[in-house]
Amino acid sequence: MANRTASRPANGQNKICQFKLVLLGESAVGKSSLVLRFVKGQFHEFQESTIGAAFLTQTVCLDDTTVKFEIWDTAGQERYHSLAPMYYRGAQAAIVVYDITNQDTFSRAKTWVKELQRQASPNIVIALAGNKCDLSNKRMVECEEAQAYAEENSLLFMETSAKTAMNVNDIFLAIAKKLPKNDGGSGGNGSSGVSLERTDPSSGGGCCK
Amino acid sequence: MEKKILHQTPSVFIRTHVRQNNDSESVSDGKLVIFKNSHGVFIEWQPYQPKEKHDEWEVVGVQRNNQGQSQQSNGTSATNKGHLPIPHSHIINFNIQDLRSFKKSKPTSGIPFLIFILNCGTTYPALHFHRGGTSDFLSAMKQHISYEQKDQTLFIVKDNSKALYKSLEELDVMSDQRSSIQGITQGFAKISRVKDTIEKFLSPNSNSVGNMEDIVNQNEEMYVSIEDDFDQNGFAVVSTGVYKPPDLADKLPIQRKSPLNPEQWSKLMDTEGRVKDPENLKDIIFRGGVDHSIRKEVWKFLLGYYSWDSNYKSRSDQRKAKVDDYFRMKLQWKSISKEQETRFSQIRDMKNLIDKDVNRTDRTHEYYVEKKNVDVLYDVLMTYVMYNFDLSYVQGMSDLLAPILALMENEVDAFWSFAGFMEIVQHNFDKDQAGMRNQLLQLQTLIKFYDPEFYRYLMQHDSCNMYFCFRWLLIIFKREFKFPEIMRLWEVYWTMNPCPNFQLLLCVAVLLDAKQTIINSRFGFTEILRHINDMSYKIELEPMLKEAEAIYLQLCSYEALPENVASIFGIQVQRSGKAPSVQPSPTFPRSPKSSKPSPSNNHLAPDHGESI
Repeated sequence: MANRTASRPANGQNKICQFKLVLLGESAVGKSSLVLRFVKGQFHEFQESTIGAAFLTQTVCLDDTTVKFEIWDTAGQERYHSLAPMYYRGAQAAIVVYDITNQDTFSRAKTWVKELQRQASPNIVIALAGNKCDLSNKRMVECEEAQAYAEENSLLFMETSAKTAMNVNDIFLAIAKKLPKNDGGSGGNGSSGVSLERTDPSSGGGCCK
Repeated sequence: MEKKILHQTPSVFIRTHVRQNNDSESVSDGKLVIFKNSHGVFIEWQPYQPKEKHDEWEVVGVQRNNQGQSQQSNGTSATNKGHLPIPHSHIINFNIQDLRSFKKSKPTSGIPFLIFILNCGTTYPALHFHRGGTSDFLSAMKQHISYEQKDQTLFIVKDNSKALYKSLEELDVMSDQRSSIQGITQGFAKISRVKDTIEKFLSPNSNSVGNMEDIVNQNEEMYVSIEDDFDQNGFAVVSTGVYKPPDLADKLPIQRKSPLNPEQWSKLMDTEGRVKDPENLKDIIFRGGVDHSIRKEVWKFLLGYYSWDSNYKSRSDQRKAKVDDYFRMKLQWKSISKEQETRFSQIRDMKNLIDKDVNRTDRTHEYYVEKKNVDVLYDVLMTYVMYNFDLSYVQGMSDLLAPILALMENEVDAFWSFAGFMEIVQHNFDKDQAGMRNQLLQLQTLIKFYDPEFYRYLMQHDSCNMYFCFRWLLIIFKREFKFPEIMRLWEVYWTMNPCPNFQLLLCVAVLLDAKQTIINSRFGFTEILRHINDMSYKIELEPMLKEAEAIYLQLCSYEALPENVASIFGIQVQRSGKAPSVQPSPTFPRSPKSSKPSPSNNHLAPDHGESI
């Protein structure tokens, strides 16, 4: 599950980094929908609940760097909590999702953040996503409250809507920017992404939408 | 650089599974194109159907990024109701360099097709070449990549230089001397050390079945990435394992029969309506399932709604009692006032969770397009919470109920049938996941014994926790098959023939069917998980049922069957060489017919057993 694919830099070539990202959060807050929007540009009104886990990949481009996300989408119900460490172990990034129309999901998100801070890789980049912001007429969690919480805990924060696509790419891009993109060998504690420099311009990229 | 078409094949179809129309199948017509742009050579399937016609599968503002992949923008969506959707799995567009392997139909079978499998495990649906052209297409592909045929249907894209290079680098011995002899020698030394450790670990005497976490941890310590390419490149270092496959008898040809039909069904009952020979009946159902027209009735027996010794009169009484009992329990939660609810978080949480799940369970199936049926799904699950408050509602249960309710079309009947199903699988939903853990371990034990080569591969690739089978086991393949097939699979499974834990044999059958693809594509854990998730709706049920039974018979006839395998299936190992006998496994979840021991081997052990 760890990143092991690596090739050496070739002078002046585009740098490729690969990161493991996990989505966590209460059931039905829109984790799978965020991934589906980000990876396939789609929204499915009746997105099925996730059983076990799903794995998807998507690549984003940042200036001279191509960032490839290996995304683990998990089941949200508390009953499946015991499986979560298997997914966030070794993850360099996490998106903790809540539903802005449901206060309980925000409390649950805070618990996830605590757990990640305690048990995940020390340098994990955590983003908080207040999803379903297209339903602002039913809002129960104020943006300012979540913003303040995110600042206290040094989290990236955005309100998103998988339905309208608002801020979906942006939150992944923000994570990509914040992740360390130094050379794979000098990452030290193993929490940094592995850089896969392109030796052959025809290889890499393009995979998996 | 402009997009340049290099090759295209018209009339390439994808079979679209459209659940709105009662699980009917339709096809999407399109063309398969090889094109080139500044980012490389791509293969794309382009549907002739206009993209705006997507319903809930709408695509929002798709544009190409500079990788040649589609990526969304924050555009506005076009939503038109009432058109055939193209599921997202049918968007096929990939860089040819990402192609790991592909499958080609056998020359003798119907319309030729190709299935593409990518490095990341993505497995696309079969592309049917209605007007031929596979050979031309493959020749055009060969201009850009080289591939070799692995077996009758599987082709692997050759990438030897890169794979070897990558493997050595993964062993971290090549740092600055990648091409030097010294590096190679060190590589060998490391590989042989690794081989020793693996062999020690894999030896049949090692008792490696501990808890899940231990196994995962052990594997992490053990982890080395040894690519099978070493063999191909003359580095046949790790292929000589001490782990020999058991000397099993050949697989027996298994005959599947036609479903239990109404005529047979009425003949199997005496004048008072008592089932004359329940074991014979279960055998018929195991061999062929149940005709759809009598499923409603027969399932009630299989799921313990009616007892096997009941007759017309007692069933009528049983049913009355069940109806009363159901509405009594339904009233219990229905009569909780809003005000009470504010101080009753458990009920509140359950209501929320069930409400969220029923609204996304099989909503594309015609029965659940209607909101009133979704409401019944909700009521039945809430009433189940009152019936079994300790277990309550756990995600996955709505999947188990949906086909039952769609068949029964009756709230009370669906409830009691579902409750019977839950008796069989309730341990899958244990708070501590103990039931699932146990099954994954049993599956691991089984693979380790039955196919050590595959087990070794999985171990080397961090995958022997079998976690990728979690969804199959949790809801007994519900997400892998359409309604007609899942109904067939479940009724076969409910007979408890020929043994308990038949679902594990099915897992083995399906996994081994995918084995060559997994190994030849050098998939690791994530790719295997993705490949297996992508197999949803693509598995052929009847051949897998045959295969699972054939494996069972092989195990039964094997004299030296290890106890840890035998006990999973209640096979009593008799070292004297006599036919094996079968008894209920102590590890199997309680059966709905738990008052009676389950004598499930009637059609098996004496007949087939001795003839093996």
